[in-house]
Amino acid sequence: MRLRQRGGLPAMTIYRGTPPPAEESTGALPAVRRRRRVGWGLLALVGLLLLGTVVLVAVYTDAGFTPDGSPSRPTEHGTVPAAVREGGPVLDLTGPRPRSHRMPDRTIALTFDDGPDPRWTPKILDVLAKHRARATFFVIGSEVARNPELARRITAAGHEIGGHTFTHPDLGTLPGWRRDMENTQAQWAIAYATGRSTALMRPPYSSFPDALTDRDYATARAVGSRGYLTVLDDLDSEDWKRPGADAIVRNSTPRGGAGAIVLLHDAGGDRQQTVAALDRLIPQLAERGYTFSTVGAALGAQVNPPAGGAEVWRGRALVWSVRAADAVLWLLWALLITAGGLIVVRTLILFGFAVRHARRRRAPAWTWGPPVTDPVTIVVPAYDEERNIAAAVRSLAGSAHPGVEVIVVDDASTDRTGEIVTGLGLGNVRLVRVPSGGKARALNTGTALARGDLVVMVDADTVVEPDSVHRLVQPFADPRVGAVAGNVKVGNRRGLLGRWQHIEYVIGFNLDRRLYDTFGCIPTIPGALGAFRRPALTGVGGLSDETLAEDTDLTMALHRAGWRVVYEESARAYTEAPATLGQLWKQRYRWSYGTMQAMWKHRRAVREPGRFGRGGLPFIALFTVLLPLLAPLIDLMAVYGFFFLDRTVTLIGWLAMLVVQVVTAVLAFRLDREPLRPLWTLPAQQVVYRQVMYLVLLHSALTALTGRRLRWQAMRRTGELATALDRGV
Amino acid sequence: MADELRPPGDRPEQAEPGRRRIGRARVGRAVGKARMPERAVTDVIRPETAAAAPVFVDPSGGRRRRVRRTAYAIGVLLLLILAAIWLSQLSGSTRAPEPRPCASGSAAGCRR
Repeated sequence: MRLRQRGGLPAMTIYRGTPPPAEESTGALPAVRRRRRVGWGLLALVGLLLLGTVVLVAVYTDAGFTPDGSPSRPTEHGTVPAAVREGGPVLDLTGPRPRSHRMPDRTIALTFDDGPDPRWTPKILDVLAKHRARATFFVIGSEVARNPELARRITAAGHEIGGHTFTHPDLGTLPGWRRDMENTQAQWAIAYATGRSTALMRPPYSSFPDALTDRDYATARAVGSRGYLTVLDDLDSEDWKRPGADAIVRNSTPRGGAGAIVLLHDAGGDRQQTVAALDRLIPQLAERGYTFSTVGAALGAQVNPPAGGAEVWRGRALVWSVRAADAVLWLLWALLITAGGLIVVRTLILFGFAVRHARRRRAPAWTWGPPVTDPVTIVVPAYDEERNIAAAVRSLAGSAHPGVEVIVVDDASTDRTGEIVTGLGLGNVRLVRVPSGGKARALNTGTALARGDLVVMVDADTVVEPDSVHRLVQPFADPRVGAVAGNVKVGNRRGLLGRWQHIEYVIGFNLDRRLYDTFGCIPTIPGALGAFRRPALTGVGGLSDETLAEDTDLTMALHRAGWRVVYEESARAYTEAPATLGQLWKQRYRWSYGTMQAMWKHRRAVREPGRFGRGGLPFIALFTVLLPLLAPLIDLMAVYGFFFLDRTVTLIGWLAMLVVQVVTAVLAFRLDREPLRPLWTLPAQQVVYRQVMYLVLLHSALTALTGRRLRWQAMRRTGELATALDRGV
Repeated sequence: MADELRPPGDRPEQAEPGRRRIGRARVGRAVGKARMPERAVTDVIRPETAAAAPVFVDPSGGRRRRVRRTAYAIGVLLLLILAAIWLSQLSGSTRAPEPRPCASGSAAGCRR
């Protein structure tokens, strides 16, 4: 009797009819069998090391390559011996005394720097072959690593090969160990590509012996101590200035009958002029009695003896790392461009269809059909919701719709949830206590007890406006409609996290839902506010606890059963969003894992007729799983580009992406008639969310892969909702 | 589901002074709230017939074991490759070869 007096309808308790599943432990002790977890942290560390190496290799091989023709350099030359300055262009500093060599009379050594280049080196080789001339190629190690077959072709054609460092830096500015590394790695790359070693080396940005500065000479002595002959030149064709083929021929023609080492380039830009000039230079000089030799041959030395096995192996490791790094970076760029393209496409689609959706719904003539006034049962599943339950139930019980009854299903709360509900003393509220069984079972129980055929499900952490429930059920005027999604908003918008989630709800959920509604493939009726026809619910077997996103699972099942699922944006509810990053993480983890489960469970829908399976499911998979997995690339590559590539271009690209998102956000807020003020936090929100969502998705995917069991986690409540409606958020 | 459910009898309570009306019991994760046996309501609901296993979950743990082993194997392989690359590139440097005089001592002798 007392119960009735206090709480109107009696509270009901439901006992478990079936024995609990066997795997549930029956004691208070946790299960003894401990499963070893995968050490993802360690593996992530290995991944980071790998990525770091890739970036390092990419930066190392690409850094600072500017073709010959250097910026200003010091000009002091006090320490350079006069014999060297006035001597020949081949410096032998391997012994105690400097020696220099000259080309014999009427002998030309054509030298090509900066290659091999896939475009120009073959052309130059063709011209040389046509005139049966030999030349010396000073190759850059990193280019050899990228084009080993060209390096092989150079030596196979009988030309000589010399080193031009690995990355083309100004050797004089480098510390000793780096200089050594440059020459050694060029040596290894050549060894792997051609099977030969080289005793020749031309320092980048070098020219004639009489232009040697103190620093150049120090460099030449240092490389000489490592056994290299430094090869300078007598004649600079100046082809890097692209002065025209005539000028290149003129620059490359020696005075009188003297021999010369001629500097040309087979890479580093358009070498059309060099190729054309070479085709004329060789016959012209041959006519004047010149022979074409290589640097080593002219000096009577074999400078390309076979390389040792260790050098070939190190070269192999080097070439493979460069290739792998190039491939990884290429892949990252390709993925980034794909992600960027998807985001732009998605934005365009959103714009087109969301605006159309809003226009159609706002038109005065818009109606779902005759007004729906059938009684509505509101089912509120509650587990430990003592902070919010009173506000939620009061707002629901006071709904402006004829014949509203509220069933609160208390899922074995350990707090005072049940007492609070009975204590409210509301005549149209029933409390049902069920044994702990999860949200899906609680909702099924509530549905089973519903008096009417229209069931509205509302989370216990959600309050509604007085007319929300009435508006929410209006679409049922159309008999094909099986379920309706409401417009869920964030109730606790204080603090950065609240604001961010508010933005996210307005853009991510409401704008997207308009789009999905247009295509008839809404993936989720939010648990916070959704309405269902009871026959539709029972037809698909109610909610299931096979997935953690029972709302998504149910919605997909309804689609597959042929029901229409629509969005009623005027039915608003305010839900309590997680107030800490940790809780947000857990919630999103559960959502994304649950969505994956639901998509996997309904994967066969893609082969079934109907819009959802054919179009909706792949669309959702693309935009809710694949796109967020690619999105952090925007920031990753922005950082990479900012430090190692063109800063302005990178910044413009990154900002363009932000502008796209700001415009989308403004549109979403306007359509939802929300003030734009919270949007100032949008840039930070986008950056942080991209990373969090990526990690959440990755975590969920790994959980799915390993088959670990993930359970519902209860949220710690702030109880801010009680005043949400009054505050008019 | 619905047909197994009988609505609760609308029985008035007759509270006896000094006796608890509602008992609670925890059985594992389930918490039962019941009136004391002598006045228990007999409504029983079978909330769920044999539930299907959750999607993705692998109770045997075999899949996790396989994933763990594969992931570790790949991780170790990558580490070895990384170590090989770093060691091969940072350990030691190579001297240029000694230029050898051409066989005949003339330039032509060096033509390969």
